[in-house]
Order: sequence, then C-alpha cells, then structure tokens
Amino acid sequence: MDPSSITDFNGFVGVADVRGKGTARHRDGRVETLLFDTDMRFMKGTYVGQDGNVHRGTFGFV
Amino acid sequence: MHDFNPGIHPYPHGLFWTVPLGSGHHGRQCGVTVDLGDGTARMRAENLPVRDFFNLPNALLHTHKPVSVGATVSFDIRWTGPATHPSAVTSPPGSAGRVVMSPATMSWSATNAQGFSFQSRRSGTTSFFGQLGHVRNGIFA
Repeated sequence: MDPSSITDFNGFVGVADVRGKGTARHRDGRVETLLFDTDMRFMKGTYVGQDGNVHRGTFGFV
Repeated sequence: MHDFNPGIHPYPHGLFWTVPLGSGHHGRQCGVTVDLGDGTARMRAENLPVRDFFNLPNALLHTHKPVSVGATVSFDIRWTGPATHPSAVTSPPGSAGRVVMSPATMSWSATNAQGFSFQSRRSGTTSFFGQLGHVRNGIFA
C-alpha cells in the first residue's frame, strides 16, 4: 500500500504508528497519565506542485 | 481527549494533514534523513504549528465550536532498521515502489493555546507499525 499522502510523487516514504503513554498537564494544574496513538509519515522527493512544475521537497503527515 | 494535526487545506477536499517539513520551514531541528540501504531514517520537528481538534470526528467533520485551537507539536522519530525484505507496492492502482517494515521509536510532545501540554514517556511506548520505502505515483508511476 502506497503510504504517501500526496500524488504525482516520486521519493522516500516512512510511516510510524507508535502507541504508548505520556504525562498530560492541564491549565488548572492537574497532571494525569494519558494514552497516545500517532500516525506519522514523511515523503521526501520530487512532486508536481499546484503550479504544474516539478519540485523537490519534504513533507510530513502529522 | 485531544487530536493534533495540521488540518485539511482547503477544507474539506484539500491537502490532508500534510505540511512542508524541510529545514528552514520550522527551524534547525526540522526535517527528514533517510538511509534506505540500512533501513533507517529520522523525522523530527520542533514546535511545528498545528491545530488541536480535540477528537478525530471533529477533525474530519468540524462539528465543534470553535472547531480547533492553536497548538504546536514536537517529535523525534527514528526508524531503526529493516525487519523484513523489501516488498512491492501494488496498491492503490497507479502506485509502485518497494517498502520494508522497520520499527520506530518516538519522542512526542504537544501544547495547545488552552494551556494543555503532553509529553510522551519512553517506557511503555511501542512501535505498532513502521515502514520505510521508495514509491512512485501519478505521473511518475
């Protein structure tokens, strides 16, 4: 499955679905443990921009 | 609950949760390095501007008022090496390439404009799915 989130793209991709726990701090001073789940990706290479030209660049799917 | 992402621009049919990440866009600690030969990579950003949409349905459907508040995220992700031999990318139609499974480690933090902050812990953090590769789609396939 192509994990990239842009089309007309040619380059490196990476996907990281990492899960775990962390420390949350609220404005009222409360501190608690919360779960987190991320879907983070990158695309680094050449792509066709909205101007129709080929560009080089790096993008993050955050 | 919190849901941090860059948004959809223009909403609702535009670029989905995707932002430029090259060095110079958001400071020195922002960018991607890849060594596909070793199956390793690193992606990081510091204080990347995003929005907190509070939950996934609202991030997609914009049902809350306000829809989101300003936020920043910082992360350092390392893909640590291939766990499989390369496999071909065969879907969706029009995409091609090769990918390997590569587990990832991650440090991740976020703050929003309402005074909320979050910092991931190293212990108990697991790589559920990690992948690296080279793909072509659209006019390049």
